[in-house]
This record gives sequence, C-alpha cells and structure tokens, in this order.
Amino acid sequence: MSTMPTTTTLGLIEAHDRHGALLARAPITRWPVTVGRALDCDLVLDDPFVAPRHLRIDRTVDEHRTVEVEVLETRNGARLQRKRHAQGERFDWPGGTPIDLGHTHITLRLSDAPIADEQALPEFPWRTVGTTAALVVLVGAAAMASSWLESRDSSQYLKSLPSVLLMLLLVLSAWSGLWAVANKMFAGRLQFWRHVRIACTVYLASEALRLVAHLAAFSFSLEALSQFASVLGVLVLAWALYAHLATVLPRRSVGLAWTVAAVVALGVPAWLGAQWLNRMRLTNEMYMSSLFPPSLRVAPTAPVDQLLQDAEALRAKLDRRLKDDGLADEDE
Amino acid sequence: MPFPLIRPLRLATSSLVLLLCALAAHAQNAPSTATASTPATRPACSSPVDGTAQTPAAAAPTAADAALLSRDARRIYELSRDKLVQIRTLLRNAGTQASIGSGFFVSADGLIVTNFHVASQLALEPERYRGVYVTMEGQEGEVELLAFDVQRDLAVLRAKGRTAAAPVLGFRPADEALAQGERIYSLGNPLDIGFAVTEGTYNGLVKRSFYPRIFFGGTLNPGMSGGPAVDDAGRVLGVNVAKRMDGEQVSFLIPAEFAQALLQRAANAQPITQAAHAEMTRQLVEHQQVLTDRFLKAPFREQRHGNYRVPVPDDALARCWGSGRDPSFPGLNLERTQCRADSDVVAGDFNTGAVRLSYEAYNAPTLGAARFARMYSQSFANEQLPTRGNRHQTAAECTERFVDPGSLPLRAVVCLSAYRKLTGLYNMTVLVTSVNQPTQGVLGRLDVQGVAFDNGMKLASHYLKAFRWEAAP
Repeated sequence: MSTMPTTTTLGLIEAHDRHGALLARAPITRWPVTVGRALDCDLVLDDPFVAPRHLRIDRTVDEHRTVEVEVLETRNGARLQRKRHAQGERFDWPGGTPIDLGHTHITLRLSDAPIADEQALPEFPWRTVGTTAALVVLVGAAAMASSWLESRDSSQYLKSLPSVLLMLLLVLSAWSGLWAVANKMFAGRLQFWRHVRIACTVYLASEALRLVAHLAAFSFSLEALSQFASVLGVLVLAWALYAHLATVLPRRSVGLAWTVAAVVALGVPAWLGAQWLNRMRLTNEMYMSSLFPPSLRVAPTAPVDQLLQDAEALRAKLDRRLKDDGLADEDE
Repeated sequence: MPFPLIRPLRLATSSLVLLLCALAAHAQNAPSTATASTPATRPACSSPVDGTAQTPAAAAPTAADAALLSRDARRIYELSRDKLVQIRTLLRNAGTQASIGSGFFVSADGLIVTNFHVASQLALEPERYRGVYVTMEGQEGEVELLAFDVQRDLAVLRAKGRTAAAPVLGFRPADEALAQGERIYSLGNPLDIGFAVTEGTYNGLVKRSFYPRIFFGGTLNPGMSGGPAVDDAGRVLGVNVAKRMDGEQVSFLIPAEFAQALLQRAANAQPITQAAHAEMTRQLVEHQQVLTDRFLKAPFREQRHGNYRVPVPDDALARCWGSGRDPSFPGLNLERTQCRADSDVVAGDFNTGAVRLSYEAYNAPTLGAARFARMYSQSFANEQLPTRGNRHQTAAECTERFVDPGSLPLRAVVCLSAYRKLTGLYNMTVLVTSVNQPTQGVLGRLDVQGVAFDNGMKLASHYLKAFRWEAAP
C-alpha cells in the first residue's frame, strides 16, 4: 500500500522446492520473522508437511549478530545440515546454509552479508564442443573401420558407407534424444550434447574393450578372456547407465551409483548362475574363435601330445556331466 | 558309380536311407534312424509311391523277355511266399504299430532273420515295445529277440508258440559266387501295402563300404527292411537293408554269410527281455576298434591347398567331395573338401560310428591381414558343437591350445561328448585352424562318432600330426 512508510530491508528469506524452483520469497523488515502455513506468517509456505507456525527466526543484538532459530509447534521439526531439531529447540543458523522444513528448503540472505562478485558470463564452451566433435568423429571412424573389416572389397565398402553413417547418426541421436527428454523432465535442462558425449564414450570404450579382450585372448591363449568379454561389456554398459542417470538426476548421483552397482552385483552372478544351472558352463562359447594375424601371437605352441594330455581332463568333466547335467530326458 | 553332381556335398552326407517303415502315428520316436538326416523318407511311408510297381516292365526290353521275367518272379514268389513275414513293433500298452519291416523263416523251430534297425526297439526298450510277425496269410504271432548284430544291422527273432514246423528259406552256399549282372529277387512288404517281389541285378560288393554290402540294382522300399534277397533258385544271398535316396534302383543288401553267423550265435541264446544297451555297447566298442585300427593303419593322404598339406583319409576308407572358388566373392579363393567314411551304424533311434572330415582352405592375398582375420574368425566361429545335452549324449567339453606338429602352427580344439547309455563311448570333434599366414589359412574339422576315449585321442593325434606347411622351394 502506498501509504506505508518505507523501511530498510534487513534481509531476504526464500523458499525453494526440492528441484530448486523458487516457491516464495519475503523481504525482512524487522526481527523476528515467522515461517509457516498460517497467513500471518512472514513467509507463507504451501507445503502440507509444514506446521501453521513452524519457525521463528531472530537475530541477537550482541556484537555477533547471530541468527537464531526457534522451532515452534511442529510435528516434523526442522533440519539443518542433516541435523534434525525438534519442537522447542533453538539453534544458530550460519549464513549460506539451507534449512529443510517438510519438503521445502529455506535460505536466508542478510543485508550486511558481503555480496559475491559479479560472475563473468560463461564463454562459448570451445573445449566442450571440441570434445564432443572429437568423440563423434572417433565414433564415426570406429563404425567405418568396423564396417571396413566386414567388407569384402572397396566398392562394396564405399557403397555401404552412407547407410552405416546414417544409421550411426540415427541411433546416436535417438539414444541421446531420449535421455535428453528425460533430462528435461527431471532437471529442466536438455543436456543433449552431454548425453551424446556419454553415448560416444561408451561405444568407444566397449569397442576398445572387446578388441583388447579378444586380442589378448588370442595373443596369450587366454580363452577365458574371450569367453568373459561380454561380462566386461556389461560393466561398461552399467557405467553408461549410471552416467546418463546421474546427468538426469544430479542430486541423486550417489544413490544411483549404489543402485547400478547393486544391479550389476546381483545381475551378473544371477545370469552366470542361471547359465551354470542350465548347461553346467558359465558361457555359451565352447572355444575361442577370435583369430588375428599370426604375428600377434605371443603364446608358444606346444607339441600335439601336450594338447591330448590336456584333453585327458575332459574324461572327468564328461563323467560329471553324465551324472549331474539333468538333461537325460531331453529330446534333441 | 554315377552320382548326380548337382549337390555333391549334401549327397555325400545324407542320402543313404534305411528301409524301416515307421507309421505316421509314432513317427515321433520310432523312425529317426532313417529320418534324422533325411526327412524325405517319412512321406514314403504314409503316402505310397505309385511308381514302385513298374520296375519289371521298365527293365524288360521285349514282350518275350517280359513274359520270361515275370514268370521267374512268380516262381520265386510262389517259392518264398509262406516263408516271408512282416515284423511289426507295437506299443505294449496301446497296441498300435510303431514300425514295420520284413523278415523270413530260417529254421523249422521258427527263427526269423531281419534287420537290427527293425528290431532295435525290442532290444533297447522291451518294456515299451513288443514284436509280432504276420505271415502272408495274415496269421499273427509274438516274436522274441534272440540276438543282434549292430555292425551288420541284423537281428534274429523267434516266433513264439508255433506248433507246426515253419517253412524255411535256405541260404545260398558262400562258395557259389554270383556273377555281376546276375538276376536276383528281393522280397518284403513295402510300405505295409502287401508282400511283393522285386527283380534286380547283383552288382558285386559296394566299393568303400565299411562292412561288406551287396549292391543290388533293383528297387527297395521302406518296409522291405529285413526281407530276403534270393537267387534264381530261391536261396537267400542277402538281406534287404537300405537304398540311396538320390539314385534310382541303387539298393543295398547285407551278405547272407553274416546272417548265418548270427544265426549260429542265436541258436542257443536266451531271449532278450531287458534293455540290451550293454550288448549294443560291446558291439559298438568292437566297431570303433575296427574303425580306429583301419584309420591308424592307413596313413593319411596329403591334400594340397597352396602350401598347406592337410590329411584326408585313404581312398579305400572314405569318399571325398570338393568344391572350388566361391563366385560371390572375387577377392577370395576358397576350396572346400568333405570326406565321409561309410561307417555309420544304427544304434536304436540314432546313428553312430561315422567319421567325417572337412576342410576350408582360404587364400585372399588382396584382402589384407585385418579383414582376412575377421573373415577367418567368423568362419572358425561357425562350427556347430552340442552345447546342450540330450537324452542320448551330454553337451561337449573342449580343450584348446596352440600346437605345432612340426612345420605349421595351429590352433586346435578337441571336444568330446559322452553317450549316456553307451558307456565309454564318445563323439569327438577336432577343430583346427592354421595360424601361420596373414592372408591364408586352412580350417579343418574331424568328427568321429561313437569312439572310445583312448582311441579318440589316438585318432586326434594321427590327424593333427599330419598337418604340414611346405615352404615354396
């Protein structure tokens, strides 16, 4: 009202929801200030988990000028830096920290608190754009290389290139686009390019991992590496899932990390266990089939008799299968 | 032999057909002997082939000859008709027919000779199946199984509860050799239509047959299994057993001497009333021993693919088929070879005892090492192995490593799977790839079915040690 005398603003009290959106704001013109659902409070909140008169905030008149909070008649109390304060308690409110009431966070700015310097507007993110472009180019190169490996002659390869690149583009944008939509829904921002970077990194990592696993399996005659390359691939995918989810819900990143880790920790053994129960082996790969140019072989050759000596162990394994594989009634 | 060369590789693997006729109702369990590899046989049972009756006419050049021939056939028919029987395997509970074949009386006390594959259910599942014989007059009686010979595919049954002496077909003495081209007659009950006689010629023994078989130039049809083949005087010279699906009038008989030998063993034998897997296993162990000995005695022939020398069995042991460049892919020279020893035997409702070898030799100088390695890996990964067990055998277990038999580094995989009821017998697969050249390679595969573990190892060693690389001079 225009007749009201002008008063100095002592501070500003604000309420945000859990996503950080501003719900209410009140300038402070006198101490104490009350917060609650009642309309006569200085800061009125619409949160049903907040009491009609929830907090009274006052500032001491001594030289410290500390802000002191009193928890009024409330069932849920208030929370400051993870510490819960019940009805009737009093505590100091240090500057710059939020207090949680119900599902609402409130913050306080005091007029005598120093004001941070003006920040420069962010420059054009050359570095990020460069990283993104480099990743996309690398992915394109990897896809082209893998289709070159599959091709039989150059004209066939050149003919297949446009469709390979188009397909890559489609899959990459569809995947990142879906994550970006989720991002927009939960965090309010698309972050499309960040999801593109995650997807590219995962593609490159899983291709590299597969190549390294199979090459090492061939070079050093480590069959297990090629058999379990898919399990390593699952770990990369789990990381990808975590990275995408953590971008969508950045405040929950710790919980998401635990969730994804738990899914992997339960899922991988459950999958391997199911394979074992079904066929008494952990993977479906009967033998290592990845072959590389002969110069990459490091493992020495053995005499034929050595192989056949190793094969003697199959006798016991087959006896175990005869006894326990539980497939004696199975039709072909 | 004049094989059609349209699909030689498939021809080499799946063209021999046993003459067991299993009725459609029980086709699920019973007839897999003949149908596992050749599904085309089953329709022959359920839908009679009209063309089967025209053999004599087609073979006869003049009317006079035709009259003469058909008179001979009628004489043979009259001579043998009361000595022929149809053998039926019935489900014990339902009484429905599971399979049918033919047989003939060989002794007055009612001994009947037939094929093992006709009587295998009586040998292996006597609690589920029983056998009956039906004469041409429709007289029916129970039979019991006395002895069987898995290797030669023969069985001896006895007609139970006969009072009258059975009329008997005599055997032709072994010293009276037949001349090639001599007219012989095969008898039986094709496709459960009725007793029939078919005329044909004796063409000597089948080349490269693992056990002696007579090449009968006449028609045999499912249901005639176990029936006799007789000479002009009505004396038994062989037992009907199989025919080639891909040929006309290319049929096979088991020489009578093996039936006579089994008959001697059966004369004093007790009827088989329990599942006879142990006896079958004993015979299959014998079979694989003969097989192993023959393969180990004959050194492998060397087949050249560029500088590679790969082992193929001696010509007397196995038949090989090859094919050349793959036209769909100009940068690659691909040669394929498949060899197969004619050594399968029927072990109830599956076959075992076969030996197969195959090679794929690649040479792609323009492809580059990386692309060659990718293609080579894919080809190597393609090999089928039993990854899951079934009621006959377990899944395979493999062991693998880089080996060098002397001049050629190889990646070798040895896989075995064990038979459940044939204790001590295994199916073995050896996979080999050469790993010495960036844009050349040879993939090999050896399969030996129904082999004892030690013999499998010996064969694998014999095989792997025969790979060679001959550097250019």
